[in-house]
Amino acid sequence: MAKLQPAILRFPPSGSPDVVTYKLYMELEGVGLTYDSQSYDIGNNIVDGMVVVDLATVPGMTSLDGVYDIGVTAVDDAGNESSMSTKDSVPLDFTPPDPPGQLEIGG
Amino acid sequence: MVLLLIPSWLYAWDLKSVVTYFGTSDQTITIGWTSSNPVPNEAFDIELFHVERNAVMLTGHTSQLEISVQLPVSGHYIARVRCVAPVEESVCLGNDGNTYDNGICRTIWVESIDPTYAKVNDEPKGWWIYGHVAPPGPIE
Repeated sequence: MAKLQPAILRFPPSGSPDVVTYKLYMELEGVGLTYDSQSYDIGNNIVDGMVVVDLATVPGMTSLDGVYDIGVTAVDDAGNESSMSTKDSVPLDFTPPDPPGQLEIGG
Repeated sequence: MVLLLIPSWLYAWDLKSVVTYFGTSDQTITIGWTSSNPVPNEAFDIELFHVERNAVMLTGHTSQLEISVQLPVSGHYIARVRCVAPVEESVCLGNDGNTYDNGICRTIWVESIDPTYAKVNDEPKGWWIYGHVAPPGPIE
């Protein structure tokens, strides 16, 4: 089993008091990020005043490999979403290298 | 009678007869009004009615002619204000809709979507507020 490096995403939380979670949107670089882009619920884990998520732990994320434009939105308890905070050209590599060959122990 | 004024910091979108002011639910907004017939020791009750939730989400009481509040959740809000003052019962009940209880006179609630009482750019026009969810900060 391969071991993946953490890919930590951090951002300041929304100031709205009724936010319950955040959504991450992803699109291959240059395609154009919209609310119809692939999205993931990334929860609401706040550490030292920042929302922190390890992308390597988000279900479905580790099948991605490439350079992406990403966006995050805040979601309230009614399901309303904020506008997106975005970051372009984020390299993601969740593909581990091939393992080394068979071990041999010589005498 | 009270007259509701626009919260001038918000940005407006004129949809037919009601102006929508947009903001986010992390902002503090100031809603103002005038008193058409000031009396000593008058004060004002204010409510913010959340349209989608069909509920009053915020109440306030002040002797000032404005109040600053933070929208508690996203959605459409109608502002309501009424005047509360200690006046003689005969004076109080001389106006339609007023109620009198234990020496206190209360006017009717006036609503920001009612152009009889609301103004936009000094013209009689209804308004309401839409509070968006505030976006998160920049991604690191």
